[in-house]
Amino acid sequence: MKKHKGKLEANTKFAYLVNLPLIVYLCCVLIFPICWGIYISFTNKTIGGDADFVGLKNYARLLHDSEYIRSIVNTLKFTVISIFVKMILGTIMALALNVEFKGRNLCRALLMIPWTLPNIVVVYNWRWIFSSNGGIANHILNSLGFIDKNLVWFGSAGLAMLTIIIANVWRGTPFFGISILAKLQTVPNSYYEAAQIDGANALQRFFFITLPEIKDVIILSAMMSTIWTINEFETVWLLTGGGPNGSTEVMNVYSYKTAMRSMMLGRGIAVSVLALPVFIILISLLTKRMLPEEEGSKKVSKRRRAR
Amino acid sequence: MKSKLRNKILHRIFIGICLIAALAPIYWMFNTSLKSEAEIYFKTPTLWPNKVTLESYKYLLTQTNFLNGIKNSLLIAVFVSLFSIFVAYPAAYVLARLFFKGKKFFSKAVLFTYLLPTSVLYIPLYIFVSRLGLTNNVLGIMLIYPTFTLPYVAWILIPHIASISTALEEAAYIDGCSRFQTMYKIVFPLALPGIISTTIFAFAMCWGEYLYALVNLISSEAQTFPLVLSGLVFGDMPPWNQLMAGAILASIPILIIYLLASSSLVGGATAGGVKE
Repeated sequence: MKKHKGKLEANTKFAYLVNLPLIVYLCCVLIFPICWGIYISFTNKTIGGDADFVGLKNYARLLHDSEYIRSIVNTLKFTVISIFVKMILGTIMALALNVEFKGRNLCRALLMIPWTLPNIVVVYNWRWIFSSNGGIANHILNSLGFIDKNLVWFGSAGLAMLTIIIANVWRGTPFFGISILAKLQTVPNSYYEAAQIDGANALQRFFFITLPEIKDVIILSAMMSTIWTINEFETVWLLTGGGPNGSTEVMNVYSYKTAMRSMMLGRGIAVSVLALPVFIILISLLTKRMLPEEEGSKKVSKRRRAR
Repeated sequence: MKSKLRNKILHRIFIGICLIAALAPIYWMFNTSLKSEAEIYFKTPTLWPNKVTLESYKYLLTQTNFLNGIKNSLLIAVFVSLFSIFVAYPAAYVLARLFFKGKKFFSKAVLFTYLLPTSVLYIPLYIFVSRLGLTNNVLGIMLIYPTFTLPYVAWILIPHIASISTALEEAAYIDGCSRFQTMYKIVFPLALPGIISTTIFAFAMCWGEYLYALVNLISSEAQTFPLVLSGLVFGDMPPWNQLMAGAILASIPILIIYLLASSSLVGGATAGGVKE
């Protein structure tokens, strides 16, 4: 027993000693700046200016600012629609790749490419595709007879929102696809054979066998993707700039404009601080889902030591 | 039998549609990069350039700051990904292998920082870096990027290390190796395939990063390639051929290392199998 305790002590010492650089780094460059940032959100700090404590003034201003409220609504709209579409397309993509066929590995690698490209490259490509001068999107829709006049994609609220959703979905779907596919490949084939013998059709097999098996990984991917999508900046900033008339201005674009363009750093951080609870809730839910395994392995190692 | 064949055909058609959806935009990027300035604004877009020209590449590489941007991006991404591996590897190791006080908190903290989005951090870090006098300096960016790569590397490496058999380590122990020695001399080489692919993904995360760079790097000297590219866009008719040439050039390294990573991932899986 004593020896056991000694080992735990030695392990603890070792673990923190070798991780000292990491811990010091994250304390200095992550935790300290965040705390400082939260303090600054209670001041009227501007770029190059001094900071005076103003209490909750920044927050009060934000909550009364219709532009801020609109940016939150836009973020929600953008996130909910994008996640929903990515989830469905990703599931279909995973199902299609779960079938054995020649060249499956190649197809999987090719379908992953959008996810691997730098986002900025993706965004500019879509901006060019939807451009009203020489853009291919208008040309295709024209020749298929869907439209008879060129659309100004970035000129109307609905279409502009559609373009940022398309850019986000195109790049984000493979993440869902690959995550779900990994889980699908662990579902034993015997389940499906049994169901087939019982006369279940394809739809029933999907809803009663596949979906319950992949539900967890879909939720997990959706939550991670939600964090990334709420956090989206460059897709919107470089594609529409938040326009027309702020109709695609999401939270991060608003905070960037407030902090870097209007130079009100304090108020800019207040935007992030107001979003922090949402992120913390999402992250805690995710940690709960992602960590049980960890506990399991801990139990195993405990048992091993007991022996 | 007939419906099976029909399903098969429908399936292949569907895969084809997926491939077109994923690859056609990339083809368009490539196609545009080979066109002349006049041809990109043709009334009817040409699916293959009437006249293939490399003028956009030439202009981009000689008349703009693009090459310098690539150099900065490369410098930053290489430095940050290597730094991250060396600083975060011990965290992954102890989380995968050891039982110690505060382990649960430690693993939670790693995951938490991994998931923490840039939007919360970019203004505080901007203030932090400017106080250090590192605004407009690649060093400032090198200081910032590990805030997202370190937790990522630590988190992603855990299963790679956990999948390695403990037998060798125990043997090394008996032979008198210290924990520290086993960690670097035994486990590190065995985890190398996973470590390489993780380094590559960390590299990719830094490579195209935009927001931190936008906020912290203003002078053309220090700009990374995403900023150089966005600097080319002005007015209603930007030089799309040059932009797409830049997009292609910036994507190539990522695509190459992605292919390398996916093959080293496969290698990792088989190496683990042999060891069992």
